[in-house]
Amino acid sequence: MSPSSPTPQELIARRLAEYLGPNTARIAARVCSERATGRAAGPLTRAEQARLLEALLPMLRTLLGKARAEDLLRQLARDLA
Amino acid sequence: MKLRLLAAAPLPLAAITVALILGLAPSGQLDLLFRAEGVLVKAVAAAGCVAAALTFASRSRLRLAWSLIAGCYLVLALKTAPVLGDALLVVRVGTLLANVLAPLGSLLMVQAWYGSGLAPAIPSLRRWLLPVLAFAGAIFVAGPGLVSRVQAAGQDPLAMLLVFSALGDIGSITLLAPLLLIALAMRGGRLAWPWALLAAGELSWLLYDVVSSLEPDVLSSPVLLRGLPEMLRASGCLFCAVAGLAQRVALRAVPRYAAVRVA
Repeated sequence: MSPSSPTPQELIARRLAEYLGPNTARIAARVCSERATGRAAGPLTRAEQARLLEALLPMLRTLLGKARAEDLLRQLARDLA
Repeated sequence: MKLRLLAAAPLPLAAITVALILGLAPSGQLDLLFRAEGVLVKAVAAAGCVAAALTFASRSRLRLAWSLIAGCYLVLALKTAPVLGDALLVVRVGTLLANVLAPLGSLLMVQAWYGSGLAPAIPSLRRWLLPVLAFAGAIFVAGPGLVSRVQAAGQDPLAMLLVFSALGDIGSITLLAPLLLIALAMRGGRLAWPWALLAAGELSWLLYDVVSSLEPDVLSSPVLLRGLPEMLRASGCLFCAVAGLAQRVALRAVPRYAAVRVA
């Protein structure tokens, strides 16, 4: 990953910002990354990315509803790929 | 743009409606017209909340929360309606129900947000201090009414129902703080709107409580005396209605994101 590329957490925060606002999106990405991988920021392996997306699901399901949460996660998975 | 338009609608709509009624009502028909307007705005609020509830799946906490708030406004609409609203027991039970359902719904919304793990988005001092201050404010506003209702309950057991509804008022005012904090935490995001508009509705109801408890000679003009509480009540209902609609609009189709390559 080149130095100028966004980290997975930054990518996720940017996508979530549309719904949660930039502040909460950033914190959501950081908190879920920490919970899933033990690290709040930085590059992640594919397995860690998958765990991060799984960690986001309950929060997104609560706020967006199940169907939209799963759609958004599919989008995020494509963006991280 | 739609969300901003929704947010801007309640106050002018409430003001115009009340002004029209005050200005054009035939003599002796003012109470009837305000009663009809009251039923209408409460029904609209209930409909907006049902629209929000239906956005979520059947066992979702937010669906339950919006449903409880819808139930509150439905009860208020029935309580205001002719015939039903003329029975004292209906009025008192309705007031009690509404003042239990509304704070319960707001509490569930706040719990759902905090329970989703987003609490760190609000600094912890603010998270604790502002609700405490809001509770103090609630006691200041609703406390005297609560005391007099407790005293009245000694003579009239039915008045005990009003004691519980005063407690519900205190709950609703207190919950204004976390609703606002959550809306502020999500500012810039679509989901901030339903929370902000719910908070605006609660604020309108709070101002209605304050204005209704003023001595009549404080509001010197008869137009203000009648019109201001009606306007605040109408805007409280309309803010809730647009909060529900904003919840639907905010969640409309997940936008298509352009694929971004992570090198």
